[in-house]
Amino acid sequence: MKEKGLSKRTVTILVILAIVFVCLAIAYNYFDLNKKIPTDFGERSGSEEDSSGGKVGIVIAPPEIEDKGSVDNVSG
Amino acid sequence: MSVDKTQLIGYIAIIVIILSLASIGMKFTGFATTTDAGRVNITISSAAAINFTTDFVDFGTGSVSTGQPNATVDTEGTLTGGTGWSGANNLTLENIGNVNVSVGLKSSKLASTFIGGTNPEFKFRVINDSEHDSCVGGDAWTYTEFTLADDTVCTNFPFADDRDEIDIGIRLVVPSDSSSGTVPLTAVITATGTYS
Repeated sequence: MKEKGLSKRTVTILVILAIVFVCLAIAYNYFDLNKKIPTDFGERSGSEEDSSGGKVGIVIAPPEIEDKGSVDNVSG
Repeated sequence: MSVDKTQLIGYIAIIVIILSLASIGMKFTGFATTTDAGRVNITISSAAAINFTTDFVDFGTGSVSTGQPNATVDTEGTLTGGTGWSGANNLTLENIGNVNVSVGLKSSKLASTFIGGTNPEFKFRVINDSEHDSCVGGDAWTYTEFTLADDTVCTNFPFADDRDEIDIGIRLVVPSDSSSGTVPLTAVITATGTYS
């Protein structure tokens, strides 16, 4: 006579599956794997104008003046 | 009525499986099978961005030679009528944006306030040496006097990597009666990139 309801073998399989799914559910929630990944990065705002600065530097020393004089040695 | 333990465990297992699946977000829907496409949205707007990658020209210390009315020094190695000043490097301007721009150049000072003296000159010119054809259009291939307002030196300054750099040469004519001293004289050069 055929057994009514679930067979022992089916129940064993169901129990194993239940354990596996419980483990999966715990891992899934623990590692937050159901978090939605944002796929809309929005719009990068563009600018129509940009500036940059540079600098020019110089030191202007007074002109070197050469003046060749002579010293007279006057002896009395 | 007697309860079969094996049957009870089996049904509890089924309930546990359903609850586990529900907790990870599985839902029963009317769809047997379906395909769907994911989509990633990003919009990149045009952005003008320029940068002086070499932003300082330092001629150092020097003087006009005795008897000379003036001295000329530039960033291309010229030094006449003076001593001491070194041929500094050119300024280098790079288009770091993602769109071609027009470039305007101006200075914070005119030659008369920067150097002083009789007939001073404070000039620049655009040099395409490092990357050919970087600067298209414009009127500053020869030395041109700086002004306080933007002078358009390139009507089209590309952003492509092999054409996004220009050198800017600087030339000064220092009169013998110009401001002198030990304090460095400085002028700020501003480049403005615009796209429309």
